[in-house]
Amino acid sequence: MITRGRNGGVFLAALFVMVVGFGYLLAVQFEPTANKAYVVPAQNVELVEIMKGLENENNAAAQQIVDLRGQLAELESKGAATSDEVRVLTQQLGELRGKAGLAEATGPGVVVTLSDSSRTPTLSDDPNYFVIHDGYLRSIVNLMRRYGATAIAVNDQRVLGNSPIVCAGPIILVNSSRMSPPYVITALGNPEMLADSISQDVFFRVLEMYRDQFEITCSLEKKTSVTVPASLDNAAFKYAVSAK
Amino acid sequence: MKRTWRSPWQSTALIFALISFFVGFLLPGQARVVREMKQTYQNEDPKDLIRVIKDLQQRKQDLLVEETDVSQKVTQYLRSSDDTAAQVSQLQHEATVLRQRTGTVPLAGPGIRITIREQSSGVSPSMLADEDLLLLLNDLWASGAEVISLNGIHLTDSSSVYRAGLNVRVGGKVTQMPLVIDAIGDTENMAKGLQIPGGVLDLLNLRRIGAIVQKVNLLRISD
Repeated sequence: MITRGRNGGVFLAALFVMVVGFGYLLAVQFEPTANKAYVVPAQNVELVEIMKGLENENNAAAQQIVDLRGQLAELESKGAATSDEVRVLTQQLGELRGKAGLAEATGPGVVVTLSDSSRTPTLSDDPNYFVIHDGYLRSIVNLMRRYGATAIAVNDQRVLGNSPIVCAGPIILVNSSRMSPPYVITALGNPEMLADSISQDVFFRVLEMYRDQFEITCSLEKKTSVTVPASLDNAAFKYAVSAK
Repeated sequence: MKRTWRSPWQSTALIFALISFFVGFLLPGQARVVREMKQTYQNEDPKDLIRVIKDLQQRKQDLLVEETDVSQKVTQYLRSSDDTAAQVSQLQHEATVLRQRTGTVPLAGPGIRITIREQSSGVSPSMLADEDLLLLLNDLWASGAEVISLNGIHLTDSSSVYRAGLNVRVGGKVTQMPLVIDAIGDTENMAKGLQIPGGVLDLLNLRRIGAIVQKVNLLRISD
């Protein structure tokens, strides 16, 4: 009886330790989301609806611009056949549109893909290392320019010199359009030069370290052909004029 | 009646197995909830969602400007199908706009000038990092800058900006601190955008990098 009593005590102690351990583990697993999972702010449902409605409207407007530009190109092409002056000007305009990022561009290049970690951070982790920040995208775009990229896009958005890449909490916006991970950054240019230079850069190596440690996605691929969409922005300035 | 008595360790193992089963059962459910919340954004801070909505509304306006412009060009082209002079005029006008956009002509307009100085004295001198500069430029573009120059070097679509030792490289050109950033555009909005509490100017000040912002009626940025 005495032995059984002693064994029972050991058993209860072991059980207690295990249950406490599992309780702690569960709490750690649930903590990052517990507060938010069950208290969804009521107005968020409406805000998300508004957001999605605007995105649908913007997608429709974007398609309309693509169609109208196609129509204009057809008319210009017909006009070019009527006079040499119009033909030369149309050709110049085509080159200028390409340089201004107003035309789709295709050619060899590289693709960098970044995405948030699929692993949920625990209490002991810094969650900042598990997500892709807007600053990462700005730095990658800057690296691509540094190493000779001639055209760049993030997901479906053409990135020009004046394209803002910002964040609103965890949401990244490029050209005021919401991006969803994975963030696919496409650059036209010499694939060897771009890939070799980017992969050796300190910033990219830090991202690779985060990939190994925190399981974010970070990859760099050379491509024989990539396509970068045209910018849908209007080229005219409101404030800047030609200086005399 | 014979009573079967499991050893404490058998019972422990049984309870351990049960708890493990429930943990295993619950975790995928939790992962699914997290994934769904991320996809629907319904658990985000309403302030962030409002910011996204404002940006999407701005995008809507921008797209409308381009849609209207291209639509007008199509209409004008259709009207002037037999009028070569009108077609030439339309094409020349667009070429002028695009030359301004690509930075091949000098530009002028109202804007702001930001002078950035590092603190070179003291035990730990402050230094402007690549990320600071990229963030500053990004905030200027986001708040209405149309054209920017760094120490007189016009930024184009292909310009990269980074530190190279004590120097600053802008595209293929090299310049040095202090940096004078000229930005032509919506003066009020740019000044406001930079001075948001917790924004880029606060960040620079915290790191003892001086930034002076001045509104200028007429800035000139060369090609």
